[in-house]
Amino acid sequence: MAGRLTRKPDDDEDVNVTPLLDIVFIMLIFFIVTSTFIKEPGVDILRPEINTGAKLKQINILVAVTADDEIWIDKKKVTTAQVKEVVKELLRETPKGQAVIRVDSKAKNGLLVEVLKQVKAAGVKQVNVATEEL
Amino acid sequence: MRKKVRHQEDAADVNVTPLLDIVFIMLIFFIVTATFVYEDGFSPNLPQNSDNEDSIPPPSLLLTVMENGLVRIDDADEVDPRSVKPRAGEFFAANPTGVVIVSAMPNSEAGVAMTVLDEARGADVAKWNQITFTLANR
Repeated sequence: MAGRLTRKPDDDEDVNVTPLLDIVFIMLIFFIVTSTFIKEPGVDILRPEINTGAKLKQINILVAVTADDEIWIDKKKVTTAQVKEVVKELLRETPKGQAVIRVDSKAKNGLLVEVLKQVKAAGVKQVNVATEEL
Repeated sequence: MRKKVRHQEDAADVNVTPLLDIVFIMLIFFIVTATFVYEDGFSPNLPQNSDNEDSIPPPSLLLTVMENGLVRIDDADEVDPRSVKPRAGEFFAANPTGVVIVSAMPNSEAGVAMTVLDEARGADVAKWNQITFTLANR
């Protein structure tokens, strides 16, 4: 009687956690590998709509150019002259990948080309313009 | 004999609860901080300084993006940005090594320039690296 009573809770405690641990570890490794700490510009823009865009992979730097001709990086407004330095700073943290300029359809081309040049001068190999499928 | 079995069982019973706690906390941290940024886009070619300045420049088609949202082709006629594709296709067919220069006025809208670049790219998929995006110096 006494033996049976002590045995029953013992069985309950001995849940086999090995499969659970396996799955949790696999999920953990997946999230560690896929997590990229991208700093969002923090402003909403209306992307230009085009037909020949492609899916971009491995994005590490995001720069936004708004319709009011403001430049935003990492939730901060920056001036045209600062873009190169700020992008260089971000590049030190995440060296791999490509930059994406989120430009509003209503933004001025003069500013867009200037930002493209600055980001390229900061050492980013490929600079893209974010678009939307038409 | 009985003692031996018991000993083995003890050794197998490592307490994994603290490990599980830490792993769960790490898992939750990474799930919460994971940001998946998916973007559509393309990479416009910017003009680069060529070292062979004395070589013969290739034939070119100049598409100037105007402030009024129209496109001026070769400084001649002004057309709608959505009708650039046939002109670019014509040009590429006549000059396979030719370059298309999309030259945007500083005060023109980026959306129009992107449309023009898209049209030129749509004309011939194999000639995407012959399309340059630049700023008009006027």
